Amino acid sequence: MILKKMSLINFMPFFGKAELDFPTPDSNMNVLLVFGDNMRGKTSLLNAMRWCFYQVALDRNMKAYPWNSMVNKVASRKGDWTLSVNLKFETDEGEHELIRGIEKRSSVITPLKDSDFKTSLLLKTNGKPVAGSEIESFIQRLVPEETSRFFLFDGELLQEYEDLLQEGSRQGEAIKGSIEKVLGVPALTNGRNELQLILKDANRILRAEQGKRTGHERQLEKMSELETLTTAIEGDIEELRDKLASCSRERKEIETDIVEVDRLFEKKVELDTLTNRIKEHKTTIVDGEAERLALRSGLWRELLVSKVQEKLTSLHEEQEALRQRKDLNTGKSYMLSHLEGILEKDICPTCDQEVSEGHKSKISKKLDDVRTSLSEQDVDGATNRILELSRMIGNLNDFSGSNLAQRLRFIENTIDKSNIKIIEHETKKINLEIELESTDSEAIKRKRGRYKILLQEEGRLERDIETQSENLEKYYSEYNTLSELMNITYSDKTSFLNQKINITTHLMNVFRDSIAVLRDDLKLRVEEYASEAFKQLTTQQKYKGLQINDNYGLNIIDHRDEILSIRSAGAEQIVALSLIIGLSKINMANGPVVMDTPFGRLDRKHRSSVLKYFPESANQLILLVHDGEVNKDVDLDPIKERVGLALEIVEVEPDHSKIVRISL
Amino acid sequence: MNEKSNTMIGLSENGHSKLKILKEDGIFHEMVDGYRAGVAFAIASNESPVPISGKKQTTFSVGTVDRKLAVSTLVQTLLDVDDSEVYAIIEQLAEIGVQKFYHEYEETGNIDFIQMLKIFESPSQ
Repeated sequence: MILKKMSLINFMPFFGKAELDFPTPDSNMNVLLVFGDNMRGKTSLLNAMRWCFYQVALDRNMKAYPWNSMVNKVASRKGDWTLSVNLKFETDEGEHELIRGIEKRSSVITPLKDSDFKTSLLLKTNGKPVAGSEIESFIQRLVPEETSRFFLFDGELLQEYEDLLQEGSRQGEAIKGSIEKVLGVPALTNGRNELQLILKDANRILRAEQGKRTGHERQLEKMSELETLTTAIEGDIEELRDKLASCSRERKEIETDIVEVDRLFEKKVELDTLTNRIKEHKTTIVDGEAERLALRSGLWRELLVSKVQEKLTSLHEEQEALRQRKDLNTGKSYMLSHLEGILEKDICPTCDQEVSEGHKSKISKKLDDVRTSLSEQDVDGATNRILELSRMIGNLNDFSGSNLAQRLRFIENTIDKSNIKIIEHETKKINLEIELESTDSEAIKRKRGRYKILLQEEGRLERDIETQSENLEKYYSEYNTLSELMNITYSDKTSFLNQKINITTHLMNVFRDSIAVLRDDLKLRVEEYASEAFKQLTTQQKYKGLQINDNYGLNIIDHRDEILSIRSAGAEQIVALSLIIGLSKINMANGPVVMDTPFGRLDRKHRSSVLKYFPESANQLILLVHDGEVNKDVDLDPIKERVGLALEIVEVEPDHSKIVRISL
Repeated sequence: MNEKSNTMIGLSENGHSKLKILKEDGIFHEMVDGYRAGVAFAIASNESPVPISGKKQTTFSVGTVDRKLAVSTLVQTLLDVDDSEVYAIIEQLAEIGVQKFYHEYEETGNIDFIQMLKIFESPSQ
């Protein structure tokens, strides 16, 4: 399989449409590097592929994300609840385009659970649509979900590969199962089981024939017993498997519920916070309104501030004019008494000489003018007016405003903001309350308890199936021995059945032996490839290689041919990466590998070795990395010439990332 | 002026009902706040006082409205009103102001005092 292009719509942090092309493997530049800080959407790209193939996106605990949490938040806030992933790729059968999407049901306002969405799935091969019923089987054939962990590889989960070293660990068993599926072991196991059924059927017919004869009653009886027994055990195993499946199903459902409960708990906290905030805003409004009312009692003063200023100005002007006039009158009075003195004494006060008649006449004329001017003035009235004006000015000077407008404006703004916030919070609160309405804390406790019981039950059922399978194997073996014996004894008209039984028995033995041989062979090959990769990747030259155990766990062999008992976190990561490469080389040499944050624990030298070796391990390599694990400036030399395309995920705003092309 | 503090003053019956509504609807904390604001608004708007038509309803003692004679002194100073007629003028101005307030409240559901203060900030008004 060769990946060509992926387009996302509203997928997790990618608002609207986001696209990325994949480098073609036929050139030497088969590496796509995608940089992105934490929380920008690297794992979401991995999940987008997983979603497109398997309709599931997984978190770090390998739990499925609820679909409503996968739709981009910016889009959902705008009421757009659609999400889709379109993947174009090529196989031996031609060009394919796989589109998987979800859309909110029209009857739902805010989707809370997966069933609130309707799904769509479309596959086109060489431009022609493939029938809906065949799409899932096509995907399963091309990239079985059980094996997806080996090509959609999350570096953060490398830890779980350490479990492969622990015999009997549950996680290790699960990964072992996945590995065997990748390696094709189940094909042989299924073949052997099919042959066993054919053999049993043939024996039943043969026995009916043989029953007509005498001398072998005991063997026949024994075979009949074994048939009954194996049929019963097969039935038991079938029943146990059904129970196990039902148990797993229920546990997974509860697991989803528990995740949902955790999410709801967060919502409850959010709801409480919102309730408190609404309360605070309401208090702000009540306080603001009270203050506003109190301030309005002084409104009348504020309304008159300009008028008072205006009046004060005019009063001051009038007062000033009156004062100037009063000063002028004082001058005139002085002149009057001065002139009257000259006429009375006939002597000039300046030169002490007698005043001539001509001058006396002029002085008299002037005296008349001054007397007339002074008699026209109401001096007393002016003085009174000045006093009145002073009183009025005094009255107004006592009057002042208090910047009421500014304070009122502030309060109005505060009240408006609080009102807006209350509406926002109330809307959120209503949505949260609807979500929380159906939550029952007692039911949650019961579910947690049930979850534990189911986990234990699953373990017990798995052990029972194993025991019963071993019993079945033993009885089959006994039955087959008897069958062979009977076939030797009889060689008459039942020869056809005998031959069939013979061939089937031999084939079964071949299959049984082959399973063991294949397992051993595969393990050796995984060990060989992984060791080869390990030697390339590790910087510690004294390590001889890796040794595989029954679980496909890998031990490091040191220079004394002994198993290294203590391994560093970095060494664990190198071993796990070696295993992934080993498995890829055996089974998926022609497939792409997507690796998310694969260098977390590695030092620079190891990172350099890994970067150099990785492009050789897959036909297309997509590396999703952050600056902390790969420094663009110094770490990329070993891989630079292999990089077909380099991209970066950048944040446009919270909940909105986009993919941009960068040059190295 | 002390004589004046024993007088009761008010509005027309219609004006009184409107001021009561403004108080009840939370525009003013007390009716007297609206009454004084009405007087100030009418002066600031250069409204000429006219005798109140219709039946009058006395509501407030002068002492309540004109604490420390602040309102009457201001009205007398600003409008050159005689001592004897100052409270009659105050009533007329209050009537004009309250009617205007109520009109705006009825039209818009609120009274934008901030905008009002902004308009009267300029001395030319």
